[in-house]
Amino acid sequence: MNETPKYPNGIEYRQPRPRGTMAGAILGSLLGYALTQNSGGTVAGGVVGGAFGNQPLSLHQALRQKFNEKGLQIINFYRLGRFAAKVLFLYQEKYWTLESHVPQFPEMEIEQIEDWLYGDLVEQSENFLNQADLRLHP
Amino acid sequence: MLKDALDSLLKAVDELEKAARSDDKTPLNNSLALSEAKETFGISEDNPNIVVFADINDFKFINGKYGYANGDAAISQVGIKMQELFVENCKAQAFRQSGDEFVILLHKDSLNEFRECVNFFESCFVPGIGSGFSVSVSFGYIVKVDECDFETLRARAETACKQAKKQGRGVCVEWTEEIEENAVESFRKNCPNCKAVTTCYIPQNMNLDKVQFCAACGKNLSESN
Repeated sequence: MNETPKYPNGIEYRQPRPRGTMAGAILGSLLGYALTQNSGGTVAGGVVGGAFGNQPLSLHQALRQKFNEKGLQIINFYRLGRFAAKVLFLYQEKYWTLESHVPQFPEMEIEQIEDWLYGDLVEQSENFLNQADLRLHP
Repeated sequence: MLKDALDSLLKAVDELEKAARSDDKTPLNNSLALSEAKETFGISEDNPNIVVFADINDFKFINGKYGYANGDAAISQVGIKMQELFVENCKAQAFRQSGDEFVILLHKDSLNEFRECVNFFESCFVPGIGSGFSVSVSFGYIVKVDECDFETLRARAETACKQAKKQGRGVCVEWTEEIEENAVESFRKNCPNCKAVTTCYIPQNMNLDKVQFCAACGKNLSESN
């Protein structure tokens, strides 16, 4: 089982992407179905996927899922090089963007970068929602 | 308990199957769904028998002026309105084929209603990032004819759409033989005068020998052959 990445000393904490058995099982199911085109393949894929259950979703997918839960519909995800990402989303019939840049610590690994960007964008989305009414109805 | 787990799993797979056919930027279906829908196109009286091709006018300009995120917002907003006006009102099937291109499958009984709804796309407001802006969409369509396969019909609808763009914003044009002939004018072919060799648009089954004038400089190409 993979450990949730920890950030280097000196970098502010951000909530990492969720890990658990469900994501792996669903991805495995999808793979099983794609390979066999039947529900038997789906079940087998789910079992295999469960073995990789501690793997997080990609940054893009994890953000889509989290933003959806908050009622923010992601329209597109933009990777701005290795250390930054941006999302375009629809909220109350208007389009908005949020952008995040990781402090560039040379020892940051790719998984840590993805987790940090996820946590930062989720945090920004919470701040956005707290201020949304003020922005929409100043 | 195992049954519950299996039911949940199958439900999740159903949702994933649906997601695999849904467009990620709009509420419409995607190109995978279109490739499946064309199999049943026009096979009976109840099935759609009109192919509509649509794209956003001056999309590159929109991306350049307002930024690519606003370009994506425009695609999203046009998709939302197509869902509302065509899918919900006209009982059509609508797909985003790729980029700013859309395909709509329509039953001929809904054609008049569809043509009325098209007027909305003369100026479609996009509540984009920062200040909003407006975009327009052009439409071309063709009614199913027995001798043509779906891809030919789609290509002809696209040709009609190019013609619609020349006529103004939010225009809908039906494909005709004449439109196909006129599409020749938009070619540039090995022009000895301006050296233009690119083709900005190639309709299907186009005969290059019909190109008479260079679209870039206007030179009579038949004189130089």
